[in-house]
Amino acid sequence: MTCRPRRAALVSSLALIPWLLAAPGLSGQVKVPSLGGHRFVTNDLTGDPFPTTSIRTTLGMGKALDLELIPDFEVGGEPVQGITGDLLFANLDMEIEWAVQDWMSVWLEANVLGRLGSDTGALLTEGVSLITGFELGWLFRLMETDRTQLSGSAQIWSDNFTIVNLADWADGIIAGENVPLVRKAPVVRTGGGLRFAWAITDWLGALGTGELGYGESAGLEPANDWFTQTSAALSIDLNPVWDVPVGVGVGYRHDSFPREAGDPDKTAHGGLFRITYTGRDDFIVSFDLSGTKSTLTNGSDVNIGFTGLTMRYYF
Amino acid sequence: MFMRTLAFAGLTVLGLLIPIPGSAQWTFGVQAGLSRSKVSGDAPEKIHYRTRTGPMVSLSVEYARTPSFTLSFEPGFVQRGTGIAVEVPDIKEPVDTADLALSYVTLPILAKVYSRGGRAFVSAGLELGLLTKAEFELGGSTESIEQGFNDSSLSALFGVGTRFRAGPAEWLLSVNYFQSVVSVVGEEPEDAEGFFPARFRTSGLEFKAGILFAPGGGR
Repeated sequence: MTCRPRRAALVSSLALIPWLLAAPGLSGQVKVPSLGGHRFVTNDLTGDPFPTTSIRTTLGMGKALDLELIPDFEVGGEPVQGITGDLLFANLDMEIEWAVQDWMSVWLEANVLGRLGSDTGALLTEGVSLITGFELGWLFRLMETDRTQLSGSAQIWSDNFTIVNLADWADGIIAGENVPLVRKAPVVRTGGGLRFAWAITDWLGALGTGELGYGESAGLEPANDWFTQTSAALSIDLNPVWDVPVGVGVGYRHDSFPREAGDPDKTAHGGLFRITYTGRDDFIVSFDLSGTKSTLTNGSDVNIGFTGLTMRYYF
Repeated sequence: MFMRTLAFAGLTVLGLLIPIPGSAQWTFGVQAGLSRSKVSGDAPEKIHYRTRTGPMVSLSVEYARTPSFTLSFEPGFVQRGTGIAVEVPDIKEPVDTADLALSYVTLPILAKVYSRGGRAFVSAGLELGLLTKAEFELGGSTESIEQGFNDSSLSALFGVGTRFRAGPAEWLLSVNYFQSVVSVVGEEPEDAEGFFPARFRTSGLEFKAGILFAPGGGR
């Protein structure tokens, strides 16, 4: 009896294999983004200019190792060792996009980023514990040729930060200020920009995005500022070259004022490497490795690595 | 500052409504519904914000630039705000204690794109709100507190809806998500310094039904 769930899971997994291995072009209509014979390996870091009707989920884990959360300091001439620690994150994104017309789509993305916490020192000093939020947007095609596409976007981001910050709370007590131990910070941002895709050959493409927005920080005293997000990616489809239904994406992104930042002058740089199964015309499954370099509220730099699994179905 | 915002909004409307000869059609109508709103902000200790429901009504002037793309100007009135619940010792759930009602004359400009079948649509735009009344109700007594709030607000709107024809009119059902993109709280009065949290914005859903007439016949 106890074997039944396991057997059912095995049968389900085996049933998925022929579906996943269906030959490209079987449905007669390629629904994944493509231009000039190139199937784009799109990614969440750079975005893409293709209005589609699709649903996407991304599940990921991230870790920052050996953070210097509180630097070494001196008390009365005696050196006191600072605090280092690890931060562990889990990330879940769900997005639904609807192509209202072939030239425009709207999307709604909901995301949760929670800190799992693997080290007491890290838990105590770096406060953000949970970020829930959503993004609402419009994507509209502005120009299209056989090999290029340019689209405009407009969106609003609404996030809620739950922050448990023992260090700030303790500092507040020492300074005689009423700093809450647990607080919630809603952060709203609006913006828009341009997204570009270029099918260089049937196996190589390029993606680029530039966005400008205005919004606030998650800091105790909210700071409003303008921000930019720029990104670029290469899309490599191995199918035309080696007859292998695999695509590779490599991307880079720069945020002048990331959503998670407590201070507007903290920039972030991110990179992504994606491997995508491209054997179906209407479905992709991708494995992501990404990294972000940003600055914590205490001023120290942090490198965070993420791994994630993305599935997207195109209707 | 407010007059400049108003002038900018007016010029934007005029610019968007410049006709394209031979492809446009005007429709006029009214809409009414309910606004389910809440304040999102740094709630003071032991305070929780609650969703409240207020009425909304608007005129509707729509201009179809193409069969699938419409610009809509919907001047109206809406009451937004928040319920306020307070944590009380020995009671598990926070107790609904007070109510904040913010009444606005609203001037939204929306772009609407209809689906291929023409039945469903999505909309997005900006709304300029002019505060007419701010009332705080506590223990049965109501007090006007306009002094602490900005005279105007700016909100982003995103919506979905459907339309259908019945008789000579076109009927609309829609849901809008609205989010004020700047704090609705202005410079605090001296005697209330520190009362309002740093972030204080309204957001929520608006459920609307409307009827539209085209002077020259249906579109």
